[in-house]
Amino acid sequence: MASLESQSVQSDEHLIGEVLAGRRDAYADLVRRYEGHVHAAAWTILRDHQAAEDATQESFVKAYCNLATLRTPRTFAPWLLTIVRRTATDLARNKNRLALVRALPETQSVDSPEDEDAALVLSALAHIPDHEQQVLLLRYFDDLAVADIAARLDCAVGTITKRISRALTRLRDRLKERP
Amino acid sequence: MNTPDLETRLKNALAIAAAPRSIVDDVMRRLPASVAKLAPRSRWRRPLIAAGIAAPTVIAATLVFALFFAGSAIRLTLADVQAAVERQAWAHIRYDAGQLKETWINLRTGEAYTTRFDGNVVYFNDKTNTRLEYWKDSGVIRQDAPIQYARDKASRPPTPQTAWEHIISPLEDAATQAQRAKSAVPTVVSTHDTLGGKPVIRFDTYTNDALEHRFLYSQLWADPRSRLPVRVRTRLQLGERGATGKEWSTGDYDFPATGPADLYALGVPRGTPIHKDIATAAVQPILDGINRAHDGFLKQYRAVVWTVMSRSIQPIESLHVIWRNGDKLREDYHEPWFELQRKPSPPLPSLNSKALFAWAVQHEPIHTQLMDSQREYTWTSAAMARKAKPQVRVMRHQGFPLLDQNAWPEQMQWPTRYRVPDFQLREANADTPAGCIGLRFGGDGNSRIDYYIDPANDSVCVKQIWWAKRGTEWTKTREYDLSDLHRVAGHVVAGTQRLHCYRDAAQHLDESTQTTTISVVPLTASDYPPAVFDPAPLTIGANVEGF
Repeated sequence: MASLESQSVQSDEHLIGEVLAGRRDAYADLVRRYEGHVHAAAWTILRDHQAAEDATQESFVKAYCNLATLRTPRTFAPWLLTIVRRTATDLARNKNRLALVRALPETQSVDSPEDEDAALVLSALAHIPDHEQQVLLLRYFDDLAVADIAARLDCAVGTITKRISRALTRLRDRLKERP
Repeated sequence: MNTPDLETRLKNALAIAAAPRSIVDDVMRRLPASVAKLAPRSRWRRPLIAAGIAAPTVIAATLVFALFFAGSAIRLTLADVQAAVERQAWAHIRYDAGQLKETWINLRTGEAYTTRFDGNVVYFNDKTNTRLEYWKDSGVIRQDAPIQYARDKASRPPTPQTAWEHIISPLEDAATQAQRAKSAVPTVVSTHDTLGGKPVIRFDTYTNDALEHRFLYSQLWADPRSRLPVRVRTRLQLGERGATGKEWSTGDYDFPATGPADLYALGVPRGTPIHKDIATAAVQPILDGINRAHDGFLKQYRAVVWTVMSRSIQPIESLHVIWRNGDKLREDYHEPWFELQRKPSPPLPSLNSKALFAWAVQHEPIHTQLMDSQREYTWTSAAMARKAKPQVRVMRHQGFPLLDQNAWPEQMQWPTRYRVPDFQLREANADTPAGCIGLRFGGDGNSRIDYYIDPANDSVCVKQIWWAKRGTEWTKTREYDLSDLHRVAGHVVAGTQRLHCYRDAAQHLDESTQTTTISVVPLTASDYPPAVFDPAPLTIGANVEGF
């Protein structure tokens, strides 16, 4: 999990600007900042850390290659999550396809109840709006204080508080909808 | 069982989903050298949609087109990206026509190799600003470091680049700038195209020819999926078009993992010596004297120059009438025997400058060359060109002092001026004219030239001896001598140049001598005939081509 010390104080927009200007190393800060979120999103779909890591790496490389197409740098994080979900989904499909082609008996992995619940929660998380996912990840994954999230996203503390509250409500609703 | 609150569940879930390790280093290792820039958009798509004036069918077609390409970008897989990056150690282009045969570019180091259809090979290294040129006929590799660029060009410090950055980005930037500026005459235009059934982006580069006519100079096709250039097409120069019967040189790209290790890998014989061009300190004062004399020579004159060959049945081989006024020069070139064959006219007068000049102005030359510091017009008579009309070719000067290099009699008197300053001082020997200093050019390969400079006569080169290596022996192949040195308006002018060509059994050439007579008359501004430097009359009734 990323610690506060490792987080750069520079905004995503600033770092993206640096990368686009040719400072390739600035991308490392963005990877460091979001690798946890991206991995978690990939794990939600793949339920496998190794596969999630592959998807995470792929996603960052894809994002880098297409960085110039990102019109609003502020939306880097949601955009990245979209890429990782697509990548992880493709990877999952390919894994299944590969298994069929090989016609090998697959060992069914039995998830623990904790894993099942985690998958359930994270799946629900993936279905709430991007900006709400973002604040929940920053708050509960990165353990950032509300003030830090506000600074990171260049928003008022009150805005972040309300956004977290709304996000939790929506997440709860999503979980209730599930059987 | 108590169900934990949502925040705890969320924290637990995220902890389970947390990455076991950081992948920052892995990602950074897999990235291309830099971010690829935006693929070009159709230059008309956005304005049309924004204005809302296009017909619905056009909008629909455009959106389908745009979505197709946007989709292709999103569908870029890691395998595609990785493969592209790995393929980009070298870019290799194989051409079908023109001077260049193949080019290899090392995208990581900036080194480049070029082979030519004539067997010559050139190596560039931007990092060390070095050029190695192997000229097949000379048998030597000449090292040029630092590279002397034309006035408007300079070396670029290399950085590792992808093929897209190295080859396509400059075009992409130019296209984008033109689009933003809404230029009516953009230098680069990008459009969507297909090549071999695949969707590609085509960059068309336009330039103006010497007549200021805009023309399509080159086209480059790039694959937006792999982000690699695919094909390049460049319009050949006028002379190359005539020689090859083609208008375009087409080069196809591939991306080998390895490229040539050195020139020898491209067919240069091993053991070929490398010669570095450096003038020694002892030579520099002599070169400075030559430069001063050349720079100070007459800039307003008329010269009549004619050549007589030994054992020729023609009284005159060639006749030039040259007009020079500062940076303007006109040269009318006659081959009297050719002209007299075609038109019955009075026979040639006696061989003196006044009579020959009078004859020349009454006859249409076979070539006229007109140049200034910007353009060069070459007019060829219809008879000589074997066409219905005279032919005019207009070339733009590329920042190099062609005027001085081409002008008689300067070139005859100071032939070393525009050679690479790579001379060695010669000891006085049996060939050295009295009071002259010997300079040697070349000698590492199979040819060399000795120049003998007369410091007492405006540093004119009164003798040149050309040598060739036959086996281990050096033999003379030709010798130039200037004589009849006299002063015109205070400047030394050679009245005669004698060229003696030695017998060359290998080339089946017999011994021959030709004598050129030069008559220079200084002029003032009012002495020139009207419109003598005006190119317009040359183009009347002619087929005019520019480049």
